[in-house]
Amino acid sequence: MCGAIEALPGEQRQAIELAYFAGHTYREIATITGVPQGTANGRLRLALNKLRDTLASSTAAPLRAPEPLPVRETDQ
Amino acid sequence: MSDPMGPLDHATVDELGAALALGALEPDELHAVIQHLESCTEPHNEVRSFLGAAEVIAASLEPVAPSAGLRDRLMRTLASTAQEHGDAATPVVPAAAPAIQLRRTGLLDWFSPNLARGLAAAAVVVAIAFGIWNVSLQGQVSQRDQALRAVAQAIASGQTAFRVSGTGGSGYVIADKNGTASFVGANLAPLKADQIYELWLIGSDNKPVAVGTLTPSDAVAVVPLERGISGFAVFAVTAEAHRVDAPTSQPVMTANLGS
Repeated sequence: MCGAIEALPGEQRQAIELAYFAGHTYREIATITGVPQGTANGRLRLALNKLRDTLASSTAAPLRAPEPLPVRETDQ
Repeated sequence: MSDPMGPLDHATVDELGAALALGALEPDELHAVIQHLESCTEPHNEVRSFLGAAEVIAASLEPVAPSAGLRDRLMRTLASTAQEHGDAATPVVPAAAPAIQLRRTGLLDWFSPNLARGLAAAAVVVAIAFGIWNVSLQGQVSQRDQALRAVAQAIASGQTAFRVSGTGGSGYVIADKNGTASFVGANLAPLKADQIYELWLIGSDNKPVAVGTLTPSDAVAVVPLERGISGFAVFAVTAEAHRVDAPTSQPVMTANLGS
């Protein structure tokens, strides 16, 4: 997985590292990196998408498109 | 603290899915997203997929203690949630942090309908804040990772996870859409040499049905339940001298299945 992170484009890797390892929010990442909040959020999405694809191709039980969430009524 | 956000629409929640999974939302956003997911009947497949991926990523990397910034945000979210739902949030703080915890992505509990209320959301936040820290301190990485992988992969494949916790350890009951279920537990408390853990499902009639046994010798226990969970409200684990038809002791772990 570390290799997959290393393989991300620089701005996506930076976003992931700032979020995941340094604990910054995407808004903070936007400030730190000098980009709009939507861009910072978009980089996180792109990065996680790529990491998800990497997982899907490497895990024994591949991640696949999930079915709709099971909806159960709770005690209300 | 940030001003509370208003209700979010589906598209916005989906847009924030990656940040949610990575623990990169501001407290007000996290609160708003959780509120949306608690009540939303839409599948939010992308959010779900991001969460599943983040769980596996977390399990694939060496654990780190949460940053001060993350802990602060989580605690602010907790504070706002507790305030919103009254002081009932306090007792749900785990006395001993469950062994299976999520480093930056403790929102598996979103999939548990019983945590689909603010009170439970507060528990999730507390669990994230403290559980991550304790896992790191306790050096129980391998067990946690194995269990996390099992849970994450199950959820990513469309199954439902119910959180199990108590003095005997922690884990998840994972159920598929047909109700077929397994218990995934880690860091189970050791028992006397002549004891076993027995697993139970309890329905509305309050009568426990034995659905399996296990010993805590395995690093990660994965036990298929002998019956589906459909129609049952509670999953429980007791310590017994041998397999019995009715529990002889109080549960050491439980999960509310919400049936």
